[in-house]
Amino acid sequence: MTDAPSVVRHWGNRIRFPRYSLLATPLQWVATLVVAVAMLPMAYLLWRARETIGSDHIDFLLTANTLRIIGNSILLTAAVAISASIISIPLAWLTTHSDLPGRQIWLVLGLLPLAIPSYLGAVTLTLALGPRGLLQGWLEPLGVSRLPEIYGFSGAWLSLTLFTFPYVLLPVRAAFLNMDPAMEEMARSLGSNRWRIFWRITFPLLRPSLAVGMLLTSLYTLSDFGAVSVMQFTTFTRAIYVQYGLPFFGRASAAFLSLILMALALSLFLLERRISSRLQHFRDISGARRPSKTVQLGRWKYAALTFCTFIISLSVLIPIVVLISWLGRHKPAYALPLDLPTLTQNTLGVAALTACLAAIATLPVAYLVIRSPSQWNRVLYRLAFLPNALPGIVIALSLIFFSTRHLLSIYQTLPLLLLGYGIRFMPLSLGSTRNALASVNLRYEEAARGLGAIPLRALWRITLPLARSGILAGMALIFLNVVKELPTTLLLSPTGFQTYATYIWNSYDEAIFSQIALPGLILIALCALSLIPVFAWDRLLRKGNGHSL
Amino acid sequence: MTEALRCERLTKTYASQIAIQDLSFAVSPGEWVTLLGPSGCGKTTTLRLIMGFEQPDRGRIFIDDEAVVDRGMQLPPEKRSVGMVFQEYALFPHLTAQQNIAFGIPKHEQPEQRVYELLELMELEDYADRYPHELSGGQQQRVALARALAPAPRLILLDEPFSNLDFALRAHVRRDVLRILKEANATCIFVTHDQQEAFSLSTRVAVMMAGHIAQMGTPSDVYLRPNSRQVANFVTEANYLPGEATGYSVDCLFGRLPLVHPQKGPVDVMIHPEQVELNPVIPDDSPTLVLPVVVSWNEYYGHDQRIGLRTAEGTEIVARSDSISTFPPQSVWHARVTTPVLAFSRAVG
Repeated sequence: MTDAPSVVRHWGNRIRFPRYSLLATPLQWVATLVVAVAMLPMAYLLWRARETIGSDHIDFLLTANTLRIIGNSILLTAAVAISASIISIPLAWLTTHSDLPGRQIWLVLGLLPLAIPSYLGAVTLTLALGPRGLLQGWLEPLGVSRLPEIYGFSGAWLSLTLFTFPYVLLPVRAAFLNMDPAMEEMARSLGSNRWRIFWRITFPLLRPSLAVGMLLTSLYTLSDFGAVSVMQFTTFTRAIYVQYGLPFFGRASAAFLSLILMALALSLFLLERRISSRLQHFRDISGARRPSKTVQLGRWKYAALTFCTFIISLSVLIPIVVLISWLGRHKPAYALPLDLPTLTQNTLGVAALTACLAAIATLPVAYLVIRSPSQWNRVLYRLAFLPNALPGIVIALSLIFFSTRHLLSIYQTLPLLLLGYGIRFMPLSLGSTRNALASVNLRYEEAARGLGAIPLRALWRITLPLARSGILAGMALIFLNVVKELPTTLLLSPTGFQTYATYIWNSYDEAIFSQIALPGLILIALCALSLIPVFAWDRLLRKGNGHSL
Repeated sequence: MTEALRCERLTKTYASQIAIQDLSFAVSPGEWVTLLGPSGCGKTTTLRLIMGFEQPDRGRIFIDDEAVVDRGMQLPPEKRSVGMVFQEYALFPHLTAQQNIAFGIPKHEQPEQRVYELLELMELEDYADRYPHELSGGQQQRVALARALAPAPRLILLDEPFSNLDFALRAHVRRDVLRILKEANATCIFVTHDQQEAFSLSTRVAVMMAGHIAQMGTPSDVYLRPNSRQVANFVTEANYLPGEATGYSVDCLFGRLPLVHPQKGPVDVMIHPEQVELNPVIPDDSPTLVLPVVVSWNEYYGHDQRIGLRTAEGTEIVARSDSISTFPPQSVWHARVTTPVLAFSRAVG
């Protein structure tokens, strides 16, 4: 046989982008434009830093105050990452490897904190555990007149831990599910006890996923504005907000602090990307494997149930119970009028619009990296993730600086708000859109082209419908985050434009807690609903329902 | 004279590895041509170049005498009016059979009417509203074919169209497909690595080797008169015996045999298994030498059988026979060759 070894087959999903495509060039332009816009806040802040930062800023950096802010931020970030892991590892293990009763329910409850915005959660914690709160009310007859101080570090730590631990729970749980039971069995056969196995086998296998989860939590903590403000703990975001409100020097120092925050966040983010890309590699190798044997908890069952109940009570039950308990309470006459239809319309409107616009904007970037993974397109794809590292307040401030200087006509308009949301949250749908497109075999598109469809029609009629659920999951994630987002909304909203987030914030500012109850409950319900498609797609993927012929 | 397809000196390189080199061939309207070759010979790449999914580095392609690839000009696939049936069918999983077929028909051409005709032609009327995963392999195959035929393309390309069907289904589906293509009066190019399929499907066969066409001709041409030892190796299971050509005949183990092409010098004589005639007794006044042989093995296929034979000197010969006669191992037969044979001159030394 004269089978020429020099001849290679070159098709499948990762084919080079054939130069015939009319789509390639315009798409490239659009994708480049999208990424350029996404990079705008970061680039602008850096560019402005050149002219505004002088020696007086170096002095400013070295003031005790600034150093305290940096110290506070780092301390809080590290503490939250560690405590979130301490909660998540047992919870992940119990819901994957044990015979804990109601494992699925505990899992869902464990993910629910994602639906509770951190500022709302923090407010409810202060109402429950703070001075003259619910808990003290219950304990009063027992002679307890003072509870430990909730404001400051402890409150910020507690609330951020309770409302961000699912970011650790998810990857750690995935790692537990992926773990090959043969490894542990092997270790047991070699005479190791359970404890030794955990430290020598399980934990090392868990470490990359744990690192990813901790970094995600850290990133969230670093960029959180609501919870630290409620708990009156001064980290970067709070300091930036306060500085921004000051006249004269305020803006420049806000910009300067933003710059340091951006640098911190970016380094965390890049570290996370590195580890999780290596993780992807880990997972690709693994084939189908036996499900792990479930461990009989026996007497430990009650301890496990107590643990789960305790965590869920704090992170899910308290917010909801507190909000319900405030529902019927007296409203002072000066309270902000509560116009639910307008709030709903505004919140859903901007969230849906952002989700749609961001989905459209990410599509060219994700499509090109799948169908034409050239150097340039891969760089574009990676760059497009960067804005996700930026705290909302940094993006918002940068856009304010930019628009007041260069584009006054969009300052305090809806388009600027949408732009801020879009830049911040677009990366959330990028990954799932990419994966969804990758699951559609190139053959389908070719078949459509062969039948006379121009590239755009092939994309619209064939590729997009097949990738639909993944794209929708990404959109739901954006929707959820826009609904929750506080600082961007606070800073970029047109005057008089209120969403649930800003309304709750303003009511809290004026200490009218009864005004928070109903919008807060509605907000949590909305977020919980938008979580459904996100996890539905995750399920689908695990079943392997890609359209891969 | 118009040609349905003309490829001129196509060359395609992937990452400095040559997939296709200087490939030229033409197809007349209504012709059925098969690109036959071992895997990796560039036959599927050729289809993809014709289709427009890939761009050649060099060369030109004409469809109905109209240039679709010429000096950097490159007509996109959707403008070429070429239909393709993929090996994996690639039926759109989110569309019904009917919607799949209608996909390529322009809106102003009454798709409903055309789809109905095609469903009828395919005998798929009852399956119009089924989704691809609800259809059997053979039905999927027919939908894929109908979809490719629907826009009335100038040319239909079929990439290993039957390789995804199990053996029992294959003959049946093949007959259906051929009937439909014939009724549609389509010009077809098949790609396959299966010699039998190639010979039975097409009016002409192009044998591809290492990125170029080694031989193109009618099935019997290619089978009976392969132009090189490589082609012969791929399309036949012939015996090769050393011999000495003397013009119109050649001397070898089977005596002096007539040659297809006159030649001279040391050669390898190619003898197809079915050219070897086995007799239980020595036939009377044979024109050629009769050789006593012993049966060493026997492969029975049903419609025919292959018999391994050994001569007194120990030379192994393979013969093919009908399935009626029996050839018990160790039985003695008298073999001879009477039809003209082909010979390949042997490199001296």
